Amino acid sequence: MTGKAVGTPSRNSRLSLLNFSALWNERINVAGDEANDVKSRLVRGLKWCNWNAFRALLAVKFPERFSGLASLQYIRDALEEAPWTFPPKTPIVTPEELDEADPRSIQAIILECEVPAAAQWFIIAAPLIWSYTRLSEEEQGGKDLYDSDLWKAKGDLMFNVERWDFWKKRFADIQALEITESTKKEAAKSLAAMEEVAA
Amino acid sequence: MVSQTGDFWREWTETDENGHSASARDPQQVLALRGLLSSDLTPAAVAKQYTEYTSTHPSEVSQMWTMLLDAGCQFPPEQHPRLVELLGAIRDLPDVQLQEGDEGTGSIVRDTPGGKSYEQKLWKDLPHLGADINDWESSRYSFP
Repeated sequence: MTGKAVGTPSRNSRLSLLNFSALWNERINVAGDEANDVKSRLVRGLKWCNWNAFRALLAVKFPERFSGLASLQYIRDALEEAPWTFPPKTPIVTPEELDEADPRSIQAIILECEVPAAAQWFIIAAPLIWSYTRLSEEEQGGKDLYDSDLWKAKGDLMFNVERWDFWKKRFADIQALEITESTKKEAAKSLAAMEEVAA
Repeated sequence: MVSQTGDFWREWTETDENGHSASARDPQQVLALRGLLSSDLTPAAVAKQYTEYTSTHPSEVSQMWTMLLDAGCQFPPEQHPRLVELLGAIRDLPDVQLQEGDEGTGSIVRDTPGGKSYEQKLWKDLPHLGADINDWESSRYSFP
């Protein structure tokens, strides 16, 4: 008898050969026109948001295995980096209406993707992240090595109350932008979770 | 939130021209995840089914976690508690005795006079899953 029985795993199993980083590259890190296509970006943003939510839940349920200290890189990207410098009340946005030649619009789309993602950390894990502001330098794994665009972090503890308050302000600020209601809603839920835990 | 769940099932159930799985190493893993997310099966039952192939091929544990992490990206947050319950059930499984040649499991290995010694348990400690996530995060992917 030759050949494999039905159900025998193929040695060429395509996705199975990839680790998570490689799979993410294949699925998300697209190049060329697709990279800047608005619909593609929004779909990728949705996966980014899902990932942040899943990662936050792992940190809550298995903190000894999947530390939530990693949340900082996701939160920093969403709340402390350049897209926030675009002027409030920038008119946006449906994907069809978006003028990609307008850098303010591109910045707005980035916020549409990144803010809901960072919000998941607080909606799901606000008490955990708040608890990090009470950790020592050693427990946090050292001091921050980088400044963000909008937050001078270098040399300070990575998690501290002042920074937490800055993040809260960012989630409040999003309500003043002409941005989608779903993003405003996620930001509001995040802000409520933060206020509840640190009241 | 919108999900990409259709893409997930389609891609992980692709078959080649002979009808063999072209994506999942073990098609039973896809069926197990379906049963979990449709609530037809308990996390404990799914854990057994989901890990069956890897239990006899520990060095191929990476593919099992790739599928689970991919599910975390493709499915909306409402589905995530079930995925986490699965992880909890996997940690409760009787563990696999790792042997020479099982370096691909992510477990820290020590050379001892009696041979290689694995410091972490495949299921209890989830070493490869932790390493996969750490590798991904240390590469500092940001939203593209």
